[in-house]
Amino acid sequence: MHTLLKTNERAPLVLAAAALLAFLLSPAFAFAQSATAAVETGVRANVETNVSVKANAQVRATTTTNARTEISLRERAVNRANEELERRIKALRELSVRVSNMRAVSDEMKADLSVRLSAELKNFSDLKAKIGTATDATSLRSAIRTITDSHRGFALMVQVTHVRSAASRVMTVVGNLEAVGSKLERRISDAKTTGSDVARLETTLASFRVHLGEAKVEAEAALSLVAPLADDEGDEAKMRENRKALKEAQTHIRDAHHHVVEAHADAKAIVKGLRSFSTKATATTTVEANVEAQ
Amino acid sequence: MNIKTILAVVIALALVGGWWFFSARPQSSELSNVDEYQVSQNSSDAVLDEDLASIDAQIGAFASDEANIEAGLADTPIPQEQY
Repeated sequence: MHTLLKTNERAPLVLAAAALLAFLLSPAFAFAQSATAAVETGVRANVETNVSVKANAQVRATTTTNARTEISLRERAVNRANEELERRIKALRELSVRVSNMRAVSDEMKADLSVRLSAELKNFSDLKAKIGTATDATSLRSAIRTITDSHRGFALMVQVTHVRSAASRVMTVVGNLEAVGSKLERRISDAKTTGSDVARLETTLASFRVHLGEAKVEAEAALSLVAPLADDEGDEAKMRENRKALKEAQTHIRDAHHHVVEAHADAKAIVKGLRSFSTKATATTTVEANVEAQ
Repeated sequence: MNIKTILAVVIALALVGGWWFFSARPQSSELSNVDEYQVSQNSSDAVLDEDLASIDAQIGAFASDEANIEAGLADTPIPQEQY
């Protein structure tokens, strides 16, 4: 028997089988389709959630980092400000002690310097307290700006006080040397009366007096130069004038020191000369006593 | 003598030297006290020697005065943070 069908008889069967297969598979396909879509949606949702979580975490991290940076900047700014203020307060306290120990200046000048130093000390102490309690950035910035702006005024006060204190010391030493000079003059006069040759000592005493006079002139010149100086308040030309006056005052103080040192050397030379008279007199007396004894 | 011993000796010398330098330096209060010396009326050789020695100590304080003026002119503030 011939089992194979003819081609034209097989075609409807193939079509029917294909239709049946398509019918059977279509729900699975649809399910698969929808399942795939659900999975995709889920994944997307997860991804979106993850992205959102990450974004939130990043925002939080950035916020934390910014806050930390802010705190760190603030701490650094406060520390620097306090360092500078403490440095100034220490310098002003040392100057106050120096002023109270000045000898050869008027009470008015001492009182004036003390008042100015105390006022400046109070300003810096108040500023330090303000920085310690500043809660907002604006107040802190303002306080820091005040520190920067006030430096030239502070420096000027320190420089002027140092010049005045140096001049005061020169005057004190000159006063002491003048007192020694009076004693030396008496001793030279006594030596002259007893017949000693004092010409060289008298010349040295004259030199001594010239040096003391010059030292006083230089110290007074330094004082005159710094007396009118005032805070430049940001004026550059005035700052240059102040600096020039201070440098000149520094030179006068150096010259005053030089003259005092020279005067002191003269005084020492005179004392040495006077001692040589005493030694000669003692030697002469001893020789005379020995002659008499023989 | 090994390298550790030499290093120890050098460090010890540096510490002793540093201590000596700072303790030997006159303090500002000591420098200001020298101004208090008053010359007496006695004009004997011994007293004149004493006067001149005391004045010499006062002159010694000139160096610190000059250094203070120089430091004052060179004073620079601690730079402030830009906040």
